[in-house]
Amino acid sequence: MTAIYVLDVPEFAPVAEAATGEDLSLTRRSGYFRVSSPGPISVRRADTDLVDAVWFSALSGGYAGALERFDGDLIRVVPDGR
Amino acid sequence: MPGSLRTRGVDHAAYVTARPAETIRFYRDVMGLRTPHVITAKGWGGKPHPDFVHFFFDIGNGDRLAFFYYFGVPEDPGAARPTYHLALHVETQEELLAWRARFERLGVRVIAQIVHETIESIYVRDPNGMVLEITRPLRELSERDEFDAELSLAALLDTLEEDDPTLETFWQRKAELVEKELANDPEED
Repeated sequence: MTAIYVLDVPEFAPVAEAATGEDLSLTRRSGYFRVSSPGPISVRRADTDLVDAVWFSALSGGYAGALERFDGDLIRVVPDGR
Repeated sequence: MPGSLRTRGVDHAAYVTARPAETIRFYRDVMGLRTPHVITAKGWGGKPHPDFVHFFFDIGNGDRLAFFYYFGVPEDPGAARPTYHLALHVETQEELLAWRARFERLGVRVIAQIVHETIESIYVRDPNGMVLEITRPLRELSERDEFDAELSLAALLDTLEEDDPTLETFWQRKAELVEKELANDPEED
C-alpha cells in the first residue's frame, strides 16, 4: 500500500492529477488530495508542467511507503514492506 | 495558538555593516529608500566597538531596515557571506519587473528570478553580501495553507525526536497526520 497526500491548492493540484499507478484511487476532501495504490505510485515531471520550486516540494503533503526515487524527472513511492 | 497579544509587522531589522558608504549608496541611491532616522552614540557600543552610527532605511509600510557601523572595526576579509536574507514585498509583477529593470539599469546584478509556490521573486546582493529578495504574491494564502503549515510543524517536531531525522521521515509523519485528519472528516468535497 502506498499513498501520496497533496494539498488542494492550485500550484500543487497537478501533482495529484499526474500520479499514475496500478488500481489508483483518488479522493479529494478536507483540503487534500489522497492518491493511493496497492503498488507503486509515480509522478512524471513531464506530465505536470511544474516550476522547480513546486516540483521539488511536491511531496510536502506527505507520503506513505518508501521513496524510491525523487529527482528532476520522476517521483516514485513504493510499498515499504511494513 | 496566538491570542489577542500580537506583534504588528517589522519595526526594524538590524544588521552590522563594515561597508557603510556602499550600503548608504545602495539603499538610498540605487533603491531610492528614504532615511527616516540615524542614531550616533559614543562609548555605548560595547568594548570592541564603542562608537557607532545606526542608520535606518524606510522599506515601506512603516517598516525599516537598519545597519550599525562601528568606527574602528575594519572589515574582516575572512568573514563568511551572510547566510540569511531579507525579502521586501511588492504587490504586482509589473512592480517586480520594474525593480529588476532598475537594478540592471544601475549596475546591480540580478542573481535570479524565481517562481515559488505562492510568490515570485528577484534576488540581488547588497554591498554586505546579504541576499536581498524582492517578492510579489502569486495568490493569497488561505486557512487551508495555515492548517497545512500547522500539520507540517507538528510533523517536524515529531521527526526531530528521532535519532536521525530526515526529510523522508518527516514526509512520512506528515502523511500520518494528514490521514488522521481525513479519517475525522470522511465526507467528499
